Amino acid sequence: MSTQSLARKRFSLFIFLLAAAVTCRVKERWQSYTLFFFDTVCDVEILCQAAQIRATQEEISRVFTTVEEQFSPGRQDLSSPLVLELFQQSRQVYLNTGGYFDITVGPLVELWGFSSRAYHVPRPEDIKAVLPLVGMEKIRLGASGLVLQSGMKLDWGGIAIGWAVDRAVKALRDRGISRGFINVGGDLYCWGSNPDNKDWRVGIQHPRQKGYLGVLSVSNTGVATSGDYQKYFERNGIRYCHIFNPTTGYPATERQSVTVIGPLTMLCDALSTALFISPEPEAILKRYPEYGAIFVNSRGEVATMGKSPGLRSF
Amino acid sequence: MNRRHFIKTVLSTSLLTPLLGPGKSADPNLTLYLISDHPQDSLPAIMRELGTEPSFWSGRFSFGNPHPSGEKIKHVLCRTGWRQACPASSTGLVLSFQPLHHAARPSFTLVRNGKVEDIRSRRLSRLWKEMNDSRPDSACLTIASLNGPREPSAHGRTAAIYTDGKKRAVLALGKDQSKRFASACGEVVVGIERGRAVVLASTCRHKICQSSLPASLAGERIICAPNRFLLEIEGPRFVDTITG
Repeated sequence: MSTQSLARKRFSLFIFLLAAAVTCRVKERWQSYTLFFFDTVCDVEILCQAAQIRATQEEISRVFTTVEEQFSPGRQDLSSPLVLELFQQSRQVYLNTGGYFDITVGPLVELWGFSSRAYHVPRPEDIKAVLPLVGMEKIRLGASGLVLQSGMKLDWGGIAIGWAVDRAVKALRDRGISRGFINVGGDLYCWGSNPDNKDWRVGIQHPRQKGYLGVLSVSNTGVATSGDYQKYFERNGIRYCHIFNPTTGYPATERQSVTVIGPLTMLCDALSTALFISPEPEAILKRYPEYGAIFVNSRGEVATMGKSPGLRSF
Repeated sequence: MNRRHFIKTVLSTSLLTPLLGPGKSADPNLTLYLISDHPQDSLPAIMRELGTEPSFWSGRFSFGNPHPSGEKIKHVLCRTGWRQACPASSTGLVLSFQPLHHAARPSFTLVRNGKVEDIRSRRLSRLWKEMNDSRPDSACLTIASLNGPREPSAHGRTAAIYTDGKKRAVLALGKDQSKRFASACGEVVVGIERGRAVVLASTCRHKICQSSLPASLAGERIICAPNRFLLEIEGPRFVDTITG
């Protein structure tokens, strides 16, 4: 075979492989769909092949269904490995936040009527009576799982959704999905670049007005927001939100919203709750150097605090 | 830290101006990264050279976070026609503070529409040299973001109705109407009134969807989770997704 013929064959093979690669690439399209989990909307936007859509939906549904079953109020198996795993994570955040993130606020949520939506302001003596049931240090880790004191109730709402988002994102990335986001009621993770090949633009809901407080430009990052405008009721002109200070038994009032940005959605979720309540947010963020936060205080003033991704090299 | 390293770092920083992102807006935006322990001394001169008329940039400024020289900056800006306002998203100029882990030579960098601006042929270069030569190292980075008039969220044109994640209908916001949609646990009645979409009735238990504010801006939603129902206003979007 002549050298010229060999070169021609090699060139043809190269063109064929190039065409095959381009064809495979073309099959990837941006797909978006909406699912309903955790009593809210779950938005998914991913770059994948058409044949993968169904599998990704099933994968996300599998993860979310499992978390929903394990952590919904009244359906908790306190000995399951998942519960024990998230308990350990929650306990660590509890310790690092000085107790301001606490999954044992269940009795307070119930007392104020947030679980039944029969909202009311309890008498101070009723709140005082419930406070002994609050505090993660009261949970014992027995041979068969978690042991709660009589009357204690766990509320995983401040961490389980973020945790579920992280698990779902991992499942999709393991399937080769390189770009996308999963957003469950505002707890989200986005990875890779957006359809415009830029960082993802995440609008922060304004706590008191229509529209956005601002727009984040992020990638490979979790984001979560806690606010007093999602679940609340008003009595005599006072707003009572669903985020409780575990030390006083009353809803936190110092902030309108806190948005946390960082590598894990689970921690963003839990920290946004703790920072919403804590009078000393700087001390908490010092323990989480990879995380940053945007605060809107009760007067509507905006402030940022903590780590800004990208400034590591300073 | 050398200048190239600084520029590389600030350009790769995604959170430096978290409250300012203009989304998909094509309006001009200009960001000044100023390394100086006394930003109030050089800020007016730089802004004067840039021709940043307060009237063009809405005339309002705000602080994205507490700034150690906040009062002094406020004083010099107010003298040149700016006035402080809140929230940050409503102002044309937002100033943020970032401490530097390592002190650096005083200097500034201009980034216009995502690109570093060449100031070598301009009077600004003299100012830059003066700053860089004459002062001790500084540990304070001030980020001044100027964003042109923009509309962070626009009025939508249609309301898309989804049940069980599938698009069932599209209702024009320009025409007053009401429609019933069968859903997971009964039905949801949607009304369009004066360009705004509302849920008029629902068979769900707590009626949260009925008490939701009317939706009219692109991207706004009304959700009825028990009915697996979603109403979303369609129109030009400025963000990919929303937290809150």
